[in-house]
Amino acid sequence: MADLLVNDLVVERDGRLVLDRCSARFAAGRRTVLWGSSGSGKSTLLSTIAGLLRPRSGTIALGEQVLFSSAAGIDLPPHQRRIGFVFQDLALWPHLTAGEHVCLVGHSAGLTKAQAHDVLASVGLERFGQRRPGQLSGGEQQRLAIARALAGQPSMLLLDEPFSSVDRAARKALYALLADVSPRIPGPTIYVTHQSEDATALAEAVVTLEGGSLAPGERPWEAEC
Amino acid sequence: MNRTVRFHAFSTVLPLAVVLLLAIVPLVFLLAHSDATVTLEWASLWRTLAFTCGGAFVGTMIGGALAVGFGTHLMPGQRWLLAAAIAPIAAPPGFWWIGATRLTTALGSASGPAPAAIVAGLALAPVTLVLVLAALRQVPSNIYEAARLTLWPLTRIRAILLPLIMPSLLGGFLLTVILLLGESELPFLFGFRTVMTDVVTTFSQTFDVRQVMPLIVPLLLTITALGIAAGRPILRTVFASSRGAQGVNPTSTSSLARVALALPVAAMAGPILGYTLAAVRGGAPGRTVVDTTTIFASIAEAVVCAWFTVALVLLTAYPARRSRAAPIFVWASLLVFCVPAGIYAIGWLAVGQSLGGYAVHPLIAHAPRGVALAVLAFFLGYARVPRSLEDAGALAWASRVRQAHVIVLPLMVGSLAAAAALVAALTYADRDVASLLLAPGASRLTLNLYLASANAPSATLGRLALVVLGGAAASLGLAAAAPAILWWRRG
Repeated sequence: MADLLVNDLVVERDGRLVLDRCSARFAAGRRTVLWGSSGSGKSTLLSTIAGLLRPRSGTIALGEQVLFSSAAGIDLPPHQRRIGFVFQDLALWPHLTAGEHVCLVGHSAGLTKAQAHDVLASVGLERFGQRRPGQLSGGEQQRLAIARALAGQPSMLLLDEPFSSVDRAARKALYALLADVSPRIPGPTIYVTHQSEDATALAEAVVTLEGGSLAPGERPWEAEC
Repeated sequence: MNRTVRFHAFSTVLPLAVVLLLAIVPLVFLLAHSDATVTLEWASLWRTLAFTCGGAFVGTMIGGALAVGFGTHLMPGQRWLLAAAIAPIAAPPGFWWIGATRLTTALGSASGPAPAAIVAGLALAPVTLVLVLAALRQVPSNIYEAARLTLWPLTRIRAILLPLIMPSLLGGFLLTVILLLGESELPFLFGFRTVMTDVVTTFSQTFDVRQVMPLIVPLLLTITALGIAAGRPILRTVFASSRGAQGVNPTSTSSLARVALALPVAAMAGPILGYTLAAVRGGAPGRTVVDTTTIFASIAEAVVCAWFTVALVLLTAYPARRSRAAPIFVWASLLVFCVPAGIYAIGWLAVGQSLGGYAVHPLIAHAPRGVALAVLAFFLGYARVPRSLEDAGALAWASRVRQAHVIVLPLMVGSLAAAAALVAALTYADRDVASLLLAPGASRLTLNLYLASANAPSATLGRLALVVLGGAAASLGLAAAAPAILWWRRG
């Protein structure tokens, strides 16, 4: 079990300062909701932790493992960080079947084919292994995106508002799935949202991001209501 | 009312339809006058296909690899490197090869289809490069980001990127095959025969259309079949990418990748250096290598052809821009473009002969491919114009000419300038049309260069090549300048 530490992180995007000396700790084994208004930089922070964006300075570490440090000159490439990421638009590969999604990612993480299919079964998609994303419903696509993230044997799980486009019934089932999955992740599960329903259902801890700075929060969406 | 609507729809597409029909007059004339009893020479086509497929394979591999490199990486000076990688398409493969042979005599002994295919592939790699770059622009960025997070680089390319860009690779391969089917200079330089070399040599000796029809008909049928096969992947790639998908997010690159992406610059600089060294080694220039009339005629012909075809297409395609027939025009233009310029020249000669020996100007033979290219560029450019902007213009100005001038055409200026430059490049670089249609005593720079490569002293060839390069730059610049000056500031 390892906490994620973000320290003095400075991130620019298209010449604009998005994160200004952000620091926070995300506890291992817990679901932390990253709360903030639209455009506050939540997705940017997630992409930076994942290694998809390079910060100008700061440190990102998962327990003892430094993922990025401007001072030490360390910048692990994304595929070596072992991060499960569920994108807002899911970013499923349109030409691959559900089974191929988990097998391909699982193979990179050292899983056998049978183990990869177990991951698919764990999200309730065992019967849909031969289907491509276009042949799955919205809720099933969300499950596949989570399965792909899990197949990489991630050290932490990052979710960027992935449930924003599904109906309420499917969303409740996905909350349950995430509650089941996140304790098995060695590091934290960070869920980005600005929707109070998602936050209420998922938050075990809260970090808010406003004005480029991170701070521990006390369910700010309840105050907003 | 219904009849009025139908008449209006018909009247908007009629001008462009007439222009495209006029473009294929020489082909229709050739096919109509071919003797049905003549045995078609399919055997020579297979030999040609071996050369063209080999060249297209090399071009697709190199162009695809460069496109993936440029499309997924970011580095200083990338725009210049990309421009240098695309630039070889502006001159025919033979030009680059002759220049390379000036660097070392070892290259001069190369002969046969295999080395010719390698040279052709290197020179035409930009075809695939451009198409794959367009395809990468339509890959949703997160799809590739998801692969970056979970897969190692090689697996990422093999399992995710390649399948997504496969249609553009296929389109690039087929288009390169088609372009090489019309290539005659490179086989001449490497000492082997293809259908196109047979067509050109046979026709220049006899000026008898019936003698070359057994060669031309299989060539046209093959080009049509390949054009139909290539149309869907090419048009889907190019038009989809123009609709503004985010595309792959490029990442910073390693030193090795930087060196690899800079290789095209070296490949292009080599022949130019070869020509320059040859020119310098010859000492002080003696008599002039080319007269000013030839320089002026070569540049003027290319520029006039570009301006004329782009203007003609603007006038005729603009009314049809929103027509449901637009995809048909685009497809037809692709097929018209795929037919080699030499075949159009022979067709127009045949038309001229049937009119009692009427001399056809080379410009007329260049026009069909120029028109086709301009139509493709017009619809590609128009696909990028947001419909709402045009509608807003319609609300602001009653005059349609003013709407076009102020709103629509400035947004298409890049496509129009590129079309004009490409038409000028095609016309300027031509050898076949010039050798078939030029009046006795007249000459063109590119034709002179090829003729000089056979027996002229190396210094003369080097100086001539530098003049050819300067003329090419002037032609392309002047051709693109007109649309740029008219609409760039507004865009």
